[in-house]
Amino acid sequence: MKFCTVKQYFDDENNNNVTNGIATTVIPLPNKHLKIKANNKEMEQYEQELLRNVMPQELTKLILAANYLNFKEALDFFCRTVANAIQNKSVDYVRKFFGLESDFEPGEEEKLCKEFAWSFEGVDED
Amino acid sequence: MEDLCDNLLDDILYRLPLKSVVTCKCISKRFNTFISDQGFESKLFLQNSCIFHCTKDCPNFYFKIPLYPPNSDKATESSVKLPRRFKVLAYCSGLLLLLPTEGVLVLNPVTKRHQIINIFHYDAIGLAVEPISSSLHRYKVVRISARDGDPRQNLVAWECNDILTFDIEKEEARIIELPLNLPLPFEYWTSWFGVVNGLLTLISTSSKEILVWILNDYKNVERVLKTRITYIINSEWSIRIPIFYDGERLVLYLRNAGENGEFCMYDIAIDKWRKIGIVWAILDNIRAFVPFVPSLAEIKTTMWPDVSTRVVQILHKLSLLLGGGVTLKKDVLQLKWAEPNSYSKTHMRRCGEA
Repeated sequence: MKFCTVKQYFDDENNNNVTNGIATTVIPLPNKHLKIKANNKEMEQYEQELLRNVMPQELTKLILAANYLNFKEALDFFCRTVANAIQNKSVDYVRKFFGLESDFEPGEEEKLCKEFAWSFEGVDED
Repeated sequence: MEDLCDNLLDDILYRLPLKSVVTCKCISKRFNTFISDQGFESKLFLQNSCIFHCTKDCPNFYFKIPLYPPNSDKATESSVKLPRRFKVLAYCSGLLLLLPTEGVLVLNPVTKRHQIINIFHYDAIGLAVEPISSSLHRYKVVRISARDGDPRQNLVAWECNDILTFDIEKEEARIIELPLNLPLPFEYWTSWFGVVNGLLTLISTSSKEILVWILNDYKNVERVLKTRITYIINSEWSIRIPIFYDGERLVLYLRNAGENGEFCMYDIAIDKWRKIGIVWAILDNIRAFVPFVPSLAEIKTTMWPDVSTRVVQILHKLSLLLGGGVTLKKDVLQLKWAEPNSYSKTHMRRCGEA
């Protein structure tokens, strides 16, 4: 029931949405879920293990894969992980995390930072 | 990252505490536009809304019941201990009017910005707020007193169930008479009154049903029944107070004397009740509630040296509780002496033994 998209994925030969590496991470998840469904702590440990070696850029790809495969629990888990990683961090840290650059006009960014200066108090150091 | 569509960006950002989401506005134009969108903002504020409650007389402990379970894995405060002389005088649109032991001030718990107001009589006082844009709000402190200055006549006019409105811009007050043919009497303990989507709304509860009325036209004194909720969870309980209503969801405080109280939320669209929190039986029956919905309203800040350290600590604790912040490690004001959870347990144990 969760896997009509997965079947489609295997059927499509030229699939750009999900690379092999990502697939090997995401697809075993539902089996694991079913096996240790009741035991939350074990699942947490398994999830921590899974993400120990994952770089931020890969997390974005994992989110896209989970979204494409319509896999709600994995999507929830990956989004939660990203949110925890960027919570209370500086603007530069989050930019580096996502591989983004500022596209503001000169002075626009300073204006925004000044307006919301209160939100930068107590932010974690990079 | 450019691949992440708006839905996925939403899924990540709405899990962050308010403070972090606002910081993200400075990342790029896309983030700024996305976060400033009114729909996203309302959703974010609702996610961070809570019921803030305490004992009505001389409270010591203040509790927070979030309307929705927190998304973050990091722990947040759910109660705070404040001095007994501390008082919440009024609440409106995300701003609190406080009496933190001495002096009155307006606080936005999200931004921690506060302004001292120089008044010395604290009775019959309220806060009027007019939201102009997301961070620009006009606010005034309103005090009701008799024209000839006779203090004994302060609140007489308002015993007869009329509505007093205050125009912030013109600084004028107006009385709106409630329609005489209101279906049920307005009783404090079973009714709720407020403004929802620009319309005056009145909610009355009975053991059989909950009625939501909107006052469509003040001149012709017409009222329209908007919603009738016939199934009430725990309807036989004796205390049944509507606390929060925004047109889409209603929160009731339900309690039977001597037992745990419950906060239950009714989602109008899906016709479902959900328990969102409890109040321990040992806590006083007569409680004060603030349905707190955060806002980013700017406050003309009073500079630090004019506010005592003790007051700053109080404001800081309130911000942690209501502003949705995570307990910060590197905080300048190390609140070592205040660990709310351990105090609550001691307090409850003591009460139990008594």
